[in-house]
Amino acid sequence: MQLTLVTCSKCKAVLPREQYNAGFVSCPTCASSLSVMVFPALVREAVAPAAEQVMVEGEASCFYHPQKKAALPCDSCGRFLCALCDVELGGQHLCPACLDSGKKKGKLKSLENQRVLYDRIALTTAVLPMLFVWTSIIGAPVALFISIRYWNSPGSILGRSKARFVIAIILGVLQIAAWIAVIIYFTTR
Amino acid sequence: MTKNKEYQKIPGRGYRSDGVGLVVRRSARLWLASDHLLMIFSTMFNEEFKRFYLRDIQAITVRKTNNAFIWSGSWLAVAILFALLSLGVEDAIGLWVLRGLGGLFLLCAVIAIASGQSCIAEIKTAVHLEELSSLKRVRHAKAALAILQPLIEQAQGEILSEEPVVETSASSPVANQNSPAATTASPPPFPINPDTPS
Repeated sequence: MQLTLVTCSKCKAVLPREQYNAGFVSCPTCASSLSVMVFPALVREAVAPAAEQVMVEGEASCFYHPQKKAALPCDSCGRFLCALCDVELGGQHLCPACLDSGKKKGKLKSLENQRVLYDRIALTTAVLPMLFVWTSIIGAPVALFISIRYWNSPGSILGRSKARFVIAIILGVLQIAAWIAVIIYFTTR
Repeated sequence: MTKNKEYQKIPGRGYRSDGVGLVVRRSARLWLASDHLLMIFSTMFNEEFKRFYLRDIQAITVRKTNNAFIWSGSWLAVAILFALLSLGVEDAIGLWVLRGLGGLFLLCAVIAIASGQSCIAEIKTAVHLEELSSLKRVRHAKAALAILQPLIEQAQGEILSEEPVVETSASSPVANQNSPAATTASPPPFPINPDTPS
């Protein structure tokens, strides 16, 4: 069993084990008041991967390593995988190719580390130019374009609705209609 | 608005300033999913995520700081300054402006005091040590830990205490200087069934 040491976040000195899970205590080095809550993972041993099994006659082999015995199929493409090629992610077993394509296409949510919030961009582009009146000639079509172009793009990871896109479209259409009305009014007067 | 079922909000909200400092501040919030914690740093048009899987969390430390005390003292000092300035003003409009500003800073001081003791929380896994920027107050940290502790323990299972303990420190060079690696046979490795920090 391996116990990794926990250090004080201020002085970086190692904290004695007696201070773990003991509520707020003083750091023995810098006297900062701190609480250290440790969990079983601190003493968990690293699990070594199972030894690769060499394929014998009549057994299914790994798609990527034909000399190795297949351990399980890829949940996405169904190719047979050995223990080395199997990547477990969110309860799924995937092959490296599916993992790569899933990341590129943004299908694997657990691999994402950032998102652009197009709904907020669209709404800001629709609202902010209205304050300066003239800038809405450009802002409204741009807001409309962004709303339509990125309608299906993933929004916040917290799963917001499309309400911002809808408001941006309505405002954009209204502003464009208003500008058309103004232009018609001044040309026909 | 659709209600998000996948993530549960964890108490606490904070900010992280990077690069350009005070100009670019990312708001930080912590969300809980079934198997991981999600730290979201968001600017107006962008969200960045960091995931901490419950099974990988080794420790969470909360250190009390004096930041709230310093801020509330500063706000209070400015409020008093405006109050003193208003004593020497006879103009009615100037008086109201100074009183208004003084009141604003007094409100800031009251909010800073009411928010409670400030803290810095850190989360430790086998490969990294990360500040939990959303947990800036002790009461938020306590509330968050009260939610997280049983879930993390459930995800990680029981501590096996019969085996010898080998102390190592991969994350801190200072740790190596202060405490050389030692092998002991003293089960359990740390107090089990902890209480939420009081």
